[in-house]
Amino acid sequence: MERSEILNKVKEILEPYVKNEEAFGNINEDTSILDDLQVNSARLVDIILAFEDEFDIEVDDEAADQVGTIGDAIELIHGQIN
Amino acid sequence: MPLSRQDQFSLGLQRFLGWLFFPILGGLTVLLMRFVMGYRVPDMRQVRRQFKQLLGKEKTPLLICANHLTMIDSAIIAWSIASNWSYWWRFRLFAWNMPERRNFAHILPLKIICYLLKCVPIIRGGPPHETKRTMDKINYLLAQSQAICIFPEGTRSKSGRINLDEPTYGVGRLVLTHPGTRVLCVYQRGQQQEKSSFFPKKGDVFFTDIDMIQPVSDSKGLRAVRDVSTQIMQKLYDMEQSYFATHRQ
Repeated sequence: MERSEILNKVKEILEPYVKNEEAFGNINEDTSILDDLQVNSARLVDIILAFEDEFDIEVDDEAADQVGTIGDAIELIHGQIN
Repeated sequence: MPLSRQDQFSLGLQRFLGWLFFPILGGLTVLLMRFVMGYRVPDMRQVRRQFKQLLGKEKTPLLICANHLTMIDSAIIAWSIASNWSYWWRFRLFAWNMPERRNFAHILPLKIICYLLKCVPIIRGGPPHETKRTMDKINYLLAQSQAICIFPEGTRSKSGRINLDEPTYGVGRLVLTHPGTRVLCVYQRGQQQEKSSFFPKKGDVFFTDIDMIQPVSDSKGLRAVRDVSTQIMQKLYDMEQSYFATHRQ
């Protein structure tokens, strides 16, 4: 799966949790999920679990803690499915 | 990651100083709540007896999980479930708290009081390494069978009711990190309390319901974290439903 394809699916998953619509419109791999998109940190677990369901992967706690930006999320998913 | 020896020593010192000053500080806190603010907990004897029974003689990690409506919830809970003498005798049962640093750290007397009353400050949304260090401290204390008071909602409930749609999952992580952890669920609410506030209103009368659960999950990893956190939130939600069904008809 291409990174762009992963990005589109990641965006779909994130959308309901995003509080900063403007940052969401300009999303790129450097976008911080918590700081830029202003996603509530408590929702990160829900987001990671949604990644697991969508991409049929398993993410351990430590890997989940490393996800800070969209790029981190894509890297994590890309590394697991390829 | 294990807690540094320096942090272990600091927590040990804080616990000792807290214990040393507790007869004065704990006593003043109760006097303030009882006679200055005029708070009352009508079922206090029964609640304290129940807490003692639920606790038994087991010395396991104990999390006190409660609904969150005011800034002094943990003080009122502590007052409701046990006497100051019993805390002084078994100081591990006087729960550690994790207040937001920005709420008190700029006022020195408050900072000292919070220190002596077993607070480990946290900066919500702060640097990840600081949050991790705080959680390492909490994990260390829990492993020592020190009671920890935590609000699974993460913040005071703006609506005044428990919102199952927005749980936080830190509590699940703590339970799963320490197998055998028991969770004392506490639903407490002043009769005049409609929504969240800084303090309860003067003269308020507090309903207190407690129950002990030991959440488990067949899932693994983050799913288990979510599962356990949800069980605790659900228990508090059920207690709230029961309160409103019987006290606010």
